[in-house]
Amino acid sequence: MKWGGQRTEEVQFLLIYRGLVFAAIRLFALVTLLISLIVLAASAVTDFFPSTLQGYALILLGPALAICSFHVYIIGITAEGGRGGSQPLDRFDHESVRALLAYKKSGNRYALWLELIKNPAVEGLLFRLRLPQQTLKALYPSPDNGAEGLVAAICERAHRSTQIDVFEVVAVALADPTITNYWQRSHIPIESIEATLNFYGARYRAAKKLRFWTAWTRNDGGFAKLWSTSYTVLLDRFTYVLDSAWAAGRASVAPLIGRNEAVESLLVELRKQNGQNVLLVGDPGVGRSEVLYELASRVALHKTETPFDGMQVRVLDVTAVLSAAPSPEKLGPMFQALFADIVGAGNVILFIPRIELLLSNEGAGSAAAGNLLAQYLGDPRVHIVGSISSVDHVTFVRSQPAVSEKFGVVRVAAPVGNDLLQILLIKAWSVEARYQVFFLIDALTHAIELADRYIKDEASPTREMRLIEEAAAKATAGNRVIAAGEMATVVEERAQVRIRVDENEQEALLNLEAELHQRVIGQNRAIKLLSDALLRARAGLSKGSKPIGTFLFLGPTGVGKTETAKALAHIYFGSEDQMIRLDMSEYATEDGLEKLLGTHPTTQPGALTVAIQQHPSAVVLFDEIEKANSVVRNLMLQLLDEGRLTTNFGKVLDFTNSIVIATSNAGSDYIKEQVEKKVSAAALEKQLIDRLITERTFPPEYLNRFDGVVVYLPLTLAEIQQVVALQVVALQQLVREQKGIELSLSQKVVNELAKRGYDPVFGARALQRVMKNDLETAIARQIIAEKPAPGSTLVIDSL
Amino acid sequence: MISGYFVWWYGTGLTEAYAAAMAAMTRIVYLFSVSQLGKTLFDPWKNDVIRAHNLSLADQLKVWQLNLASRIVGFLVRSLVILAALFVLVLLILLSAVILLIWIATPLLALVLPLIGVTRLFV
Repeated sequence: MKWGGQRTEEVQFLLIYRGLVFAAIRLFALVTLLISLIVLAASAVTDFFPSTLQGYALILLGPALAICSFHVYIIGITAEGGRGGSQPLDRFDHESVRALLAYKKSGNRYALWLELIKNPAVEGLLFRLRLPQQTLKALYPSPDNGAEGLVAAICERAHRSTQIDVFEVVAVALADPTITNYWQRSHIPIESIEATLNFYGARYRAAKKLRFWTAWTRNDGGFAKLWSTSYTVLLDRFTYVLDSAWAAGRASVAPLIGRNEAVESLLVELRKQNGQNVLLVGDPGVGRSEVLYELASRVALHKTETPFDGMQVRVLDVTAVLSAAPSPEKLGPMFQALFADIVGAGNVILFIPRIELLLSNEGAGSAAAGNLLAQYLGDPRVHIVGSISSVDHVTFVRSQPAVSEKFGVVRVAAPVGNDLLQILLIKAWSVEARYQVFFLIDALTHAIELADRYIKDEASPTREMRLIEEAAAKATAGNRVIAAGEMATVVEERAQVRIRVDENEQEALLNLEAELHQRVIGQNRAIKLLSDALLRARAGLSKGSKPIGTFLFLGPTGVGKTETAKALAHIYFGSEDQMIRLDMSEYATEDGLEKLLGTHPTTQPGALTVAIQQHPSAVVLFDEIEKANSVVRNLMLQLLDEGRLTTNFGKVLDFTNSIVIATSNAGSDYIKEQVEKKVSAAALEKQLIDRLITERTFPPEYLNRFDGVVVYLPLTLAEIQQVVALQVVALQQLVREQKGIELSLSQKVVNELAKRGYDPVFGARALQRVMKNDLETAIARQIIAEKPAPGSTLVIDSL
Repeated sequence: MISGYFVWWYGTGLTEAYAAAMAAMTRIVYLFSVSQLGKTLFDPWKNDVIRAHNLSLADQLKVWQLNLASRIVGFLVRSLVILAALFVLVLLILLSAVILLIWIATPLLALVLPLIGVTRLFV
């Protein structure tokens, strides 16, 4: 390969040109040029300067002009990209050629990187991708002489393009297996690399295209843009304008990513003959306002190429309007005056964020506002764009035909994939400047992954943006670089979930049986079945398509079913508070489903809806499932199959991070009979399930959807004694904390408690009554009689 | 490098200089809202019109006169601004032409000016 060519000459010349000597020459030339021009200009109007001076000025002006124009030429060629030519390197820009020449000279790819990171954008990119200078040096310790191969690879990737910039070089260099292997070892998702590279490359190329006159071509309407619109006193009071100055400032910090389709749809809807009003519909946090702001920006800068160019996009302060006119009597004239201003101005697009505040007929402040608004929606001189959530759209718009027929709808979806990552890169950029922190790429990809799993009450990209803001605020003085671990901590606090469960999940699962036995007495087969079923369920690779595990606990009352669920919540999710318990006997009536899932997002959200949103990672316990309404029981089928439920008002409840347990006392008598007949546990389990199917207590398709059907047996006397021992330990701890005294029970008392607490009907529940009524009373009597001092021992040897 | 200088000076460089001049003129057109003023030349000033109904003939005549006055004011102000814009534009065109001519002549001037200077010294 030939390493010559014009580009190479230019780069080699520039190495000298940028030295001090040439800098001094340039400075001298510039000063000479200015002085000569001043002398000549003065000579044109006065005779102050003699002709000899003019002559010298002209003599010096020539070379000065030549040097300055040559410098302009140098600036020009270093700013532009390749120009094409006979040699391969003629297609590259100067930075690339310099880097490639350094690589060729040393033979070591590290030299290439050293040159490339002189570009601040490249340096920032590499640092974000966990490739600081030290790492690159370690990755390329020795020469590989691969410069020619690299140039060939770059030329092939660029096809016939005559302009290959430094980011093309970086893209090919990053594809090196040395680097991709390093990323894999560091658990950096490779798929995020390309999006990040494209993001930086696009910004770099856009910046390269800017010239000092670029801003002059921006059409902001000029100083006469409002000379044809009337005065809008009331509108000025309750709205603010998204004008060209705002648009120009916004373009540099918030370029539109992934929303072009929504913006175009919005414009199309506004231009429709019968549709000058549009609703932006989407989940909270998807960025409906961003779509409007982008439209406003294009309108202000005359970029839509439609009659909307140059119109005023005004944002209404709904709460200010409703505060100024809280009653319908005042609101009517207020609306009339506001819309008179809009019609008089003739060029207003009114944006109403949270338009449900006006459309709702509830609340004294918004009474009849919806009806008043509807009167003006049909006026062709009025253009309204409203923003509303999907749930509120169903509740307040679709239920009012008079309103819904006057609005076109543009659905704004949450950004995903590379679009979402690029949006977060932009956000990270601004946050980093404010907090003086730096986000590595795995922090951002981790934020996306964890937010998708654990934060369900808000949509992307707002929920990820909040995480970024929180992570930056929490960054300590000594730790300004934010990686995946710091982001996980932020999500744990935000979602009240133990993410480390995933990371330590293997340990938790392998020790689950032993841990459960410390809390649940007996039920060896049941605990083993549960642990094994959970292991099998979690061994599957798909996370997020079903609950973590689903189980049906069958057995008499008081044998440890609920205790197992509590223990599971503590061991798996870190706390017993991470258990949602629903007594299904409360949902036995016809309105059971409504009580469970709710009918309104705010006034009647439903018990299960509220609970799972607050605790997305929890044990969900449906107690006594057989008592629930049949519609509710059928709902379980969808939950067990898909891990998701959809409410009446469109809210999707996600159970994929939860363990679902249903309990039932059905077949308890049959269990006791078979236990007395000394039927084996395995046989009893099979017989019980067959019986429940035969009796139509649970249909087979219902039972088959559970990961495990676990049968709990009645407790034996020996097991009750173990339960007594557990409860005594807890009581001793309580007495120690509250009174500071040690409680000691004789073996006679323990045996007596077990004997009194043993009830084949009520299981261990009978023991709870005995502990309270007999033992605690005995303890109380002795405390009052003896008044033991703190640190002493209280011995109970009779009840 | 020298040949590259000439290629760039009369190629890309001249194109960019021309683009800068055009951008400056565009700025003037946008700044003075020429397009907007042209489209609304005869519109009432600040859309200030009286819209009334069921008036007597005399009152209707008064309203018509006032509305006409608003249009006349609008026309006068807009016309003056358009004329001002044209004046500035003409100046800018002349200035741009001079700059572009100097650009084109720069390599030649770099050679010719010293000769003129020498001539001045010995005349």
